Amino acid sequence: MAGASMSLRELARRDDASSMLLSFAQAALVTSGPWLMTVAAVAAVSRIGTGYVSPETMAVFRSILIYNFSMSLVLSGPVLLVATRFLADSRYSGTAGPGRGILVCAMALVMGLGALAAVPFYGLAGDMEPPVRVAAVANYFAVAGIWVGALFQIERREIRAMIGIFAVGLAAAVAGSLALSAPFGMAGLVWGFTAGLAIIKFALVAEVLRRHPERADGPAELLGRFRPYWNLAAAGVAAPVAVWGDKWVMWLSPEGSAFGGFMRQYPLYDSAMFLAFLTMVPTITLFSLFVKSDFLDRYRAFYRSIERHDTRSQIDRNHRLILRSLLESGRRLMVLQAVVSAGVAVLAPGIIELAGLHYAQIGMFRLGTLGAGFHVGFLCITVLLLYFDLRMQYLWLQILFAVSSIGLTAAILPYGFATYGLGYFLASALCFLVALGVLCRAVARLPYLTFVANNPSVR
Amino acid sequence: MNRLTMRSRLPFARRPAPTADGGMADVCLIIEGAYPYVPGGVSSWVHDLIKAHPDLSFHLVALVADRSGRALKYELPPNVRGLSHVHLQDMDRGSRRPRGMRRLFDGLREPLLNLQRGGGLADVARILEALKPWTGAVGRSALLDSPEAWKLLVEAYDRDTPEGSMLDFFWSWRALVGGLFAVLTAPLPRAAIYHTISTGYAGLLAARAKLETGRPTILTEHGIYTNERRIEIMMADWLFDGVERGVGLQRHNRDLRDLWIDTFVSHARACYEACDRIITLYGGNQDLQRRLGAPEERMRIIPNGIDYARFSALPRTGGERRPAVALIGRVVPIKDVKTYVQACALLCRRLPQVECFVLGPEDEDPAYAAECRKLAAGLGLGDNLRFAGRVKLDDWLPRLDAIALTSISEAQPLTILEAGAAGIPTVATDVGSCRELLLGRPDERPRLGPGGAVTPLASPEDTASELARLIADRDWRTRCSRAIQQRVALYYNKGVIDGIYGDLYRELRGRRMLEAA
Repeated sequence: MAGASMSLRELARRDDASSMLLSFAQAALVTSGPWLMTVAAVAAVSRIGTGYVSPETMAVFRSILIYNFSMSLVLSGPVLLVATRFLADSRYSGTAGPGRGILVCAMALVMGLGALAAVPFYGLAGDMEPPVRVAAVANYFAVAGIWVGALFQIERREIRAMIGIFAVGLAAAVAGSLALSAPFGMAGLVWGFTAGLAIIKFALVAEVLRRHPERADGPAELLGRFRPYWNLAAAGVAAPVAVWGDKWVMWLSPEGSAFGGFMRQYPLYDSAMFLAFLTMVPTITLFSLFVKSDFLDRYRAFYRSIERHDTRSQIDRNHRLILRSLLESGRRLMVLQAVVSAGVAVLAPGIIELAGLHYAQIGMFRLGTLGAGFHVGFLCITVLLLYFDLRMQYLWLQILFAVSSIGLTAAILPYGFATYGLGYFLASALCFLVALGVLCRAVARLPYLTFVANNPSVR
Repeated sequence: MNRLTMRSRLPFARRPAPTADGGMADVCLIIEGAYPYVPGGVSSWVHDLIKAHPDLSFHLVALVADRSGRALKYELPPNVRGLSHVHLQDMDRGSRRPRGMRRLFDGLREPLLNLQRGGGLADVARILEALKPWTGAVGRSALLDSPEAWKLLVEAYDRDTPEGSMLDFFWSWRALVGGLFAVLTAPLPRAAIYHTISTGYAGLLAARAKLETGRPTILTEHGIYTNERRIEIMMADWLFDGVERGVGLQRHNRDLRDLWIDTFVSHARACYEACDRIITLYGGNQDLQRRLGAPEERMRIIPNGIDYARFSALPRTGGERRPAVALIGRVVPIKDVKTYVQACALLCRRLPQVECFVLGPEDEDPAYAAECRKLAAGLGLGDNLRFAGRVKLDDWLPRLDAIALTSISEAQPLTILEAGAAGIPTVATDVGSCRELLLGRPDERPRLGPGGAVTPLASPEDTASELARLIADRDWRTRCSRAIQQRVALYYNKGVIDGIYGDLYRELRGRRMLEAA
């Protein structure tokens, strides 16, 4: 991502419209490409596959994917966040990359946790055929492995490689699932898609091994990082719960159904929300483009200024430049998101029809869109908090979002269909405002935080 | 750092027994960076003082840097009834966010800033007054880590060193103010008399004891603390000198060195103002004390004493052995062992048969000790110079012909007296009371003559030349030996000195009891 930021910065500095569009497109690819491609692949399978399997089979297939994405994010989250921090620390300290070691340990942890969760989940519950259960477990491991493989930052040249890997893998997933669904039904559908995901996973792992040719020394070093970074590990659980919590509650609503005998879901709500999440893409892209390049310059200047033994006035000047960068970028992001959210909310009926969804989803889609507008702001703010190493604040905010998303969604559920999505919207709005307050307070006191409150040498 | 704790398997690691009256010692000795954890002249002096007064109970307050385990280097005498610590750089956390922080710092601001620019006892009193309502509640979290503390730090920086490194000022402030607060918030043992062995933070604790209890307080200064710190600060390469002075002759801004030195001067002034008796070892020291504001009427000279009978009875070995010289002392920068090593190289070139020794522990500054050894090897000294570590003086003095002392700063080195009692002359740098010890005080009657030689600082040629004279010229050596031995017997006999301190303790206790009645 650092390498991507470098190239984005160079592009962003050029003053012509084409380079601006190019930089925006590249930023979109970097930040949202894999996720969008995955959604597109699932949609493609759903559309085309109805000719090969029954709608019920397709619904179970989607449920397996959704459950596996959901479970794997929650279980892998702690490992991914701690491993990311370990990689960043190693890069900063200039030590020889422990890449292979981290990869081995992270993969082992994620697979191990997955085995403890996915195997009993699919093995002991429901009335799926055994080949389908095995396929579902294999799918879980493929998805979880992709999170680990994608963890390692890929430099600019490898962004094309990463996009290429996802494109090839997902194309194989679509082709495989369609090809195998006819002869083998549900199992073939899942196995075919899993094969494509496995291609992505192993290709990403191979890419890591290629860039880290050293021996896999010290895999246990990662384990030792869980204690000092326990708050990151806890946030690794809270953050995905925050994203999925409202959906889990809605799966238990009266309108939810059980797929495969035990996997409850509410497809109307899920599809409306996932569509609403797409409205985050422009803001996430712009965040990546402006904040991570311009902000990164100011951020580095501030900390270097301290390390260089500068005077207080010089440090303060760099502090003010950070504030200015955040204010300017924040204003642009908010305006952009407001325009997108408002526009989509107004055009919701047409968008719902274009996406092939049910008109009854318009209300949830609108609330989801407005909620996503605040949610993306929350995401951007919490990323910035991690830049300032405010891990406890990051954890508490994720917990707040998780609790409020689940709590408000559950509290509003009895009020009926018309209010579905309101819980998520209110939780997003509340948490955005709280996060904004936390960020403002933190950045205003940045010198104090840096020297004292957040200084491990002082604690 | 040896990480053994007080409860180690060392045979003399003994927990002090409680005092008979349930906790009030006769004398509370306050010691910084010495007894009972660091061996040396001052520590030996403290140890002998305690042993010389078995009828008095002592409580020791050792000021140390942090809470890491330390091994006792001395067997505590049975009349030591308590040993407590003040951790200068690791005070208790205290409450995270006690109430009224703004009011607390409003009271602390002015006296704290004054103490960094030539303050004194009145500022210490104001700080204690400001802290009183929060006794037991405030600690590091409030006093150093709170936003209010940060604001005060920034104010101090802007006032004192606005053109200096913020990072260095930050750590300097935390070290200086942290030590101050550690002293002012630590539990104060109950004692009839408080006796500090230096100014600095130990002196601050004595000043606090005077302010809070009103009991008699004594200061015995061996080396002048502020002077020694001044030397260390001027030599410190970790103090980033970022202040731009330009070509102007007048200095407009202070730098960190000024901050450190002025703060220690303030601490010394507070101690002098508080103590009822300000004792030092020799006249030269009194000049420095006067300049720092010590009241004349409280000042007194009580020199170090040594066990003359013991050292004078040591036999002299002679005959076929090689001539031998030694530096007896810790291998640390302030002893300037490197100059001695260079002097040994010059000496051995002139008199190849001479054996040279360094007799003292090397664990206080292992990096410096390694540099000294490397220097010795580089100068080709080989077996001519041996580092023997910590030794029993009784075993070594009989086989030495001369002692060298090349220190940058000294007070009244016991080494010169102990060797002198054994009839061994010394070549010493002209620091502290060395000139007085070796050539006699101006009022010495009859004049006994030189007991060795005095050289300039950091002059290996002069040191080597004087050592060579003592080794090669038998008559000269004999005359010096007699002179130093007589001088020690007359003026530096421990039995007499111990009696003086005993009388002083009784006098101050008696006065206090009268006042109480």
